Amino acid sequence: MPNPLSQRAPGLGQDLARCYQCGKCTAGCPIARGMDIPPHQVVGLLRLGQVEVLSQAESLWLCVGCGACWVRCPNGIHVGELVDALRQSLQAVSGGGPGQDIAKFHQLFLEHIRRRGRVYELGLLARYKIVTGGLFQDLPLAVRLLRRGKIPFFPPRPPASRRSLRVGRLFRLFTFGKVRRSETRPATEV
Amino acid sequence: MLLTGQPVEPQLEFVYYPGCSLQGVNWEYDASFRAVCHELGISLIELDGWTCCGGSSAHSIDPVLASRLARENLALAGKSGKVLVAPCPACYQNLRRGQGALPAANEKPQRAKHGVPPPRKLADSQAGQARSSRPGNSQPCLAHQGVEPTAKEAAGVGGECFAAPTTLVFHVNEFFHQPPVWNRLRQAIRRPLVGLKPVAYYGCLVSRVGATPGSREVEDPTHLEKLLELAGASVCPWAYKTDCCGGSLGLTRPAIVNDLVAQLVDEAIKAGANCLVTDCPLCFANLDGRQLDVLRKDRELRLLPVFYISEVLALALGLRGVATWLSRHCVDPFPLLESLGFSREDLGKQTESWQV
Repeated sequence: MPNPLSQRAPGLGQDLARCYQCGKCTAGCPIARGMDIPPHQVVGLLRLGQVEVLSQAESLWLCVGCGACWVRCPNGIHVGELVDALRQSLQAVSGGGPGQDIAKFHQLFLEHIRRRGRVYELGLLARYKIVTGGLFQDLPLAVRLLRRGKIPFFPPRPPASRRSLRVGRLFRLFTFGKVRRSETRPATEV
Repeated sequence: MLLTGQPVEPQLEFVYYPGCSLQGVNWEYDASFRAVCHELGISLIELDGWTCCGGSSAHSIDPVLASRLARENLALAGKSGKVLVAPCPACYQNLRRGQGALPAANEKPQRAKHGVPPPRKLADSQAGQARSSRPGNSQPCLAHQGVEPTAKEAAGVGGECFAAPTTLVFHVNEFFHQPPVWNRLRQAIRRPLVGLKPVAYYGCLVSRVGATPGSREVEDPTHLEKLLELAGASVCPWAYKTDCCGGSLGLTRPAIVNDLVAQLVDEAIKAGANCLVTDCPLCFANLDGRQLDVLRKDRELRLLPVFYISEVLALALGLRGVATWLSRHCVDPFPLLESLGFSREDLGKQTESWQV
């Protein structure tokens, strides 16, 4: 049975009817302890078409994509890829659900690549902490790393303009939380 | 006729993809890996103009963008015709994912019933090159729809889909297990690490990339253990070798990661280990950097030094200047190494012992 969402992301093409709710994904999931909706329930809710519930779930952003659910699932369902696909299809990036700070982190990370070609960690971290208002959350760790000389205070290399131009081209047609124009979508597209 | 009677060794050259974290927080991994390769006479050529693989963010938000970023780097590497080495498991995962076509929908994966799929070998790279040079079709793959090719790519340099998706990508474990590299390593061990009792911590990604669910290698990989035993360490078995450290949630949800780190360190101590050895920069950052945060809350926890596999190999090879890397660790590894009989001169330690 095809699931109610579109087929354009690979994770969503999985046959979820195979899931018999054994819960092995949740048992193996390292993050399940902090999740509001554990992995097997994500699959269950999606089968029932409870898309609104899922779009407001923090679990959607907590998944780290480690793949434990997939290697242990007796039916080969990759909940991580499912969640990756859900994030985009539900346009959860622009939605107001919980876990928006994690979504913000991913956005800043990608913006960083788009502009610089590579990631300069201190710059990214500082920006993330400022944007989310948690500047002092991890201060002891940051001080520890800086004192050890683990984080270089300045970017290791100046960003090469040609490189970032080349990368920028890969981001064309990519807009956060919006549908990419180039993709073949059913005529029902808004 | 050769006077020394030694066989002429083939020249080993690899293209090296350090990745962003090895140029930043985890530069000891980069420095120690380069030093070990230099010692073994293996040349690493840094991939010219490499860009970020997208980390865990690209595939989290847009799988197609993740594939594009990976293929951009694979296209660069494909020109050289050499094997690509990516020490960071996240880069490795993204590059390997970029190689495959986006997975077909509704395809039930084959599960391994018996044995292990054959390991990928250096010799495969030639076969891969031959395959990638076949004439391409004009239709761009899904990952490249909407991206205009550069002049060179349009002229056909880089294969059928701008990229040469068949470029062989190795992680550090696979790299050291290639017979020519392994043999050189075995002959070069000068200082067996007797008394080092590590647990091998793979993290969640390495064993699962390109894996067959159900095969033994997924749940119980042994690459690191073999390398550590080669270095003379007595490895402690434990059940948490492929458990996740929390990854990038360390920045966004520190409480969850601290919890996972506490569990991992706790289990390693229960297994009888005196250190953790990992091959993942993100695992290292979480395990090494956050142990002190965990300790602040949980006074029962003992601190356990964390090493990169390349640092352990450098110690076993008797390289000098190891201390410049080790002194960057948040958990002081010097008391352990001094108890193993490494003197300050051995390690090239210059500064005084420091306190947290």
